[in-house]
Amino acid sequence: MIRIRRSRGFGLWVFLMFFACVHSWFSACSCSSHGGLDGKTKVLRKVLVSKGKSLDPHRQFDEPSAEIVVLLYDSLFTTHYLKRPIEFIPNLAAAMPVFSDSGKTMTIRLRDDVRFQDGDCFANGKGRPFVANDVVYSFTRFADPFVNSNSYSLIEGLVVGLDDVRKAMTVKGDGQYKYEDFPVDGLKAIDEHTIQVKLTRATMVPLQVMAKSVMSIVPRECIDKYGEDFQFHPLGTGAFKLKYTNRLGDAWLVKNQNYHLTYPTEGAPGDAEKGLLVDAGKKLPLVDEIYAPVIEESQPAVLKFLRGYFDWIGLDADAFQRMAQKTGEGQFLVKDEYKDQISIYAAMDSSSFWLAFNIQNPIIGKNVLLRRAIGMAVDRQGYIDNVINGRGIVLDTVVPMTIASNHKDIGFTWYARNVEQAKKLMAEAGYPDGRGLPEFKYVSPSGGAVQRAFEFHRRTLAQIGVRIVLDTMPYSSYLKKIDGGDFDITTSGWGADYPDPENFTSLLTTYARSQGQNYGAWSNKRYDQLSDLTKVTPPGDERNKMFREMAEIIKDDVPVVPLFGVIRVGVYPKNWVRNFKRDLESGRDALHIDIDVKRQKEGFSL
Amino acid sequence: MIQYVIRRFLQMIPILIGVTLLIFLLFTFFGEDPARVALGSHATPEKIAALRAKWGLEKPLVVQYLQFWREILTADFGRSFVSGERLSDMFKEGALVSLSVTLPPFVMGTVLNLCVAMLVAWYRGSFFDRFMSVIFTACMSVSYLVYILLLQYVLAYKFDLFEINGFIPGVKGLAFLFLPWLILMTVQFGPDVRLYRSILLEETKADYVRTARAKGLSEKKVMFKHVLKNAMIPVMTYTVVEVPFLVMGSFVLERYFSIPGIGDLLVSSVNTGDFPVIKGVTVMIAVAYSVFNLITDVLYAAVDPRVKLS
Repeated sequence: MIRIRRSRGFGLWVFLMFFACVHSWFSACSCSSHGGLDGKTKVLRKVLVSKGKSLDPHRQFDEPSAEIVVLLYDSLFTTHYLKRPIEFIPNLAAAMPVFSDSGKTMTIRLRDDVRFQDGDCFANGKGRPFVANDVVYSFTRFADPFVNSNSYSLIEGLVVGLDDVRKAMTVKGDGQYKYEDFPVDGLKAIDEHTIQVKLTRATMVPLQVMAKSVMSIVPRECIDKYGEDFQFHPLGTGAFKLKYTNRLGDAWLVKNQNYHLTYPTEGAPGDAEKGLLVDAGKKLPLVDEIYAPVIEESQPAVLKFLRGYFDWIGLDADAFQRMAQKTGEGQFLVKDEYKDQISIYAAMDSSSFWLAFNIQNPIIGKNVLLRRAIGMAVDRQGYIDNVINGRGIVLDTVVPMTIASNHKDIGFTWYARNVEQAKKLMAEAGYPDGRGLPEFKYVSPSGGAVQRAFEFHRRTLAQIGVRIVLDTMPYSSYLKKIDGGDFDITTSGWGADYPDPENFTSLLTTYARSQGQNYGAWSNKRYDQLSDLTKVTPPGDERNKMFREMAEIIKDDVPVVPLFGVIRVGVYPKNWVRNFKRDLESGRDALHIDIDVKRQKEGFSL
Repeated sequence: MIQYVIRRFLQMIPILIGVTLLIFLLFTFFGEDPARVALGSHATPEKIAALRAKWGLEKPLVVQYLQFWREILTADFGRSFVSGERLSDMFKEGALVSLSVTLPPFVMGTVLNLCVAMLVAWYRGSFFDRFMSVIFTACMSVSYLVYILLLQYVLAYKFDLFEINGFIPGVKGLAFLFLPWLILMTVQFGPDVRLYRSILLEETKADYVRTARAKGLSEKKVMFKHVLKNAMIPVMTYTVVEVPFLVMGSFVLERYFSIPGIGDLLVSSVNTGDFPVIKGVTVMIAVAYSVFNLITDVLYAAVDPRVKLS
């Protein structure tokens, strides 16, 4: 009897536990997991491929975070939604900065019609006007080592006194201080709506960095109220306000009714014909809400898109294979079954990938002919076609094609692929057909298309007798290996911090070795000198000559083999999404996209 | 009984010391530097040193270990290195979410699988038994991922029977859980039924069963009254020790269905070297495992009068 009673008790316990679990999630959210449509509210539904690290602009420096941060906050400048190549325009600034004759002082007039959004950190919950002191506060916070451990290097050494302040805060060592106690010599609020920034040298980099999400303007009251938890209560002057988020990183945003920016009235050639200027001059944002769940795997994202639950998704290799095809270099079409209802976009991204050799290695690091042979044998176009479904473009230098002074601008070409010539170089290097050459360790973080990439390189390099073996591991272990120089060959890459070629070319300098970026630890004095010169030389022929000489040095010594730049491909519904033009630089596409709610509700008829 | 429970709880202390020491030493001496991982491509020795200082990784090892124990005793593991979120919030929310995904199919699956195993054991040696054996083996041979991909595509997308992906807290979100539940039950089916069948068949060979049959009891009574009760001991051992792992959720399932559970959290923390999360989760597992082992022992005594707790 007793045993039977206990058994029932256990069952009841399990039963109650189950229902307690189902019922007791904390905040009941009224939102549906598909971004419920009422036929009136314009909801843009997009997919985030991973969770961002933080919604505090100064703590984040990763793409998934920035994707949401740019919608919640504003920086002083931004980039034009339609014009290409990239053109900087004012955002919280009233106009582009005025530079002094020496080019070392920037005076920035700020908008006087911008308010922070309403929030409980303000008196009476009403957002206050944005003023110049907010810029001083936000830039000082950007330099705070206890807040920003990721992105300060973007502006390091460029603003007078900012590095000193960062050092002083580091010495203070506890993160418990007031920014008033750390005035920055080069940062001054001239009046309520004017700011002056003194630079250590004449350069456009600070302006470019001031357009990035990491230098967004934040309200001091909210930081004071929430401290480290500010990231969970984000509030700025941005086009949207966070309505809901969860631990997975899903985000639901609602429109800021008082947003200050308007849709551009000019575009790139052909934009008007594509209907991209229909909304010219209209108040932004054009949609009322944004629903952005995190879906890390491609299958569910694609299936939900095809069901009409999303208005825009990017295509990874698997999704691309299912939905699209390459028709030419940088040109893509959706497959026939989708072409009537789905549009495709392709946008070149400001990133670049290359093969890096470990120069400390006694064989591959010391034998330039061997590296040249490999540089000549690597099939870069084949890699793009076979490993990344054609979603890339061959690069002859480490500078991506979206950035000025890329290989076309400087008239430079890498070795043409020539297996016979490479074999001759192998013989000259002392390893005819690879005889006597040990296997090289190709080290890579696991995940993605690593196996496919390795197999491709293994096959092409085997043609000249170079054998490689794969050593793959989690990213954390990969970094340890690279730092310890425990590799022979690896694939390295970089995404632009700011749109300047120097941001890429400087990655191969001796200085970059100490910064953890020059993986192969290559060093060349002339290259270093030229790199320093490019930092102080204004864009133009003279600077391009320097970049060309740097490219020639790389070609001659082959510490790396430039591979490709990424083309991002994605799809959106033809019938209900308007004004779509992928803006990878600012990531503020969602402000400009408009939705036809009636057609959106009808969905696809696939 | 109470003395036994108290003694077992006391025995958990050296186990926890061993576990914490092992985790601490492994991560300190063999793990990656979390500051280096967090900074990624922008890491410099100075930045790494500053971040390590901020996270308290430069303090003497003894101080760090004692700090770890303070966290355990106060159940406050601080904040994630990566996201800055409070771990207590992450665990509370994540564990409930994971449980909502794993517990219902676990309970339903265990009951269902036990019934099927009894049916198969009842018809032991028949065509039905052999046919079901083939089915269990086939079920066990298919990868978990294949079940997810296939059922998500066929049942959710093609036939529109379930939601494809997503998660909503609360009762409204039940529709999003049906397919993950079905997948978990399918995955559990093969190995569970096979095991339960073996246990039941083993019991049918016991002397007391022969005696019961000799007494003239019906086969039904023999199976339900005698065999099932005795078979519950190994079944219980198998199921109860699984319970702590239910809180850990399922990494693959959570990832494909965008469910914010502990499974995804733990795996991503290992990848990013988020030591506080790993520490917290490991301690949680160790404690839960010890507690549920104790529960199993207590239940033995409840189910089998021959077992005496002393």
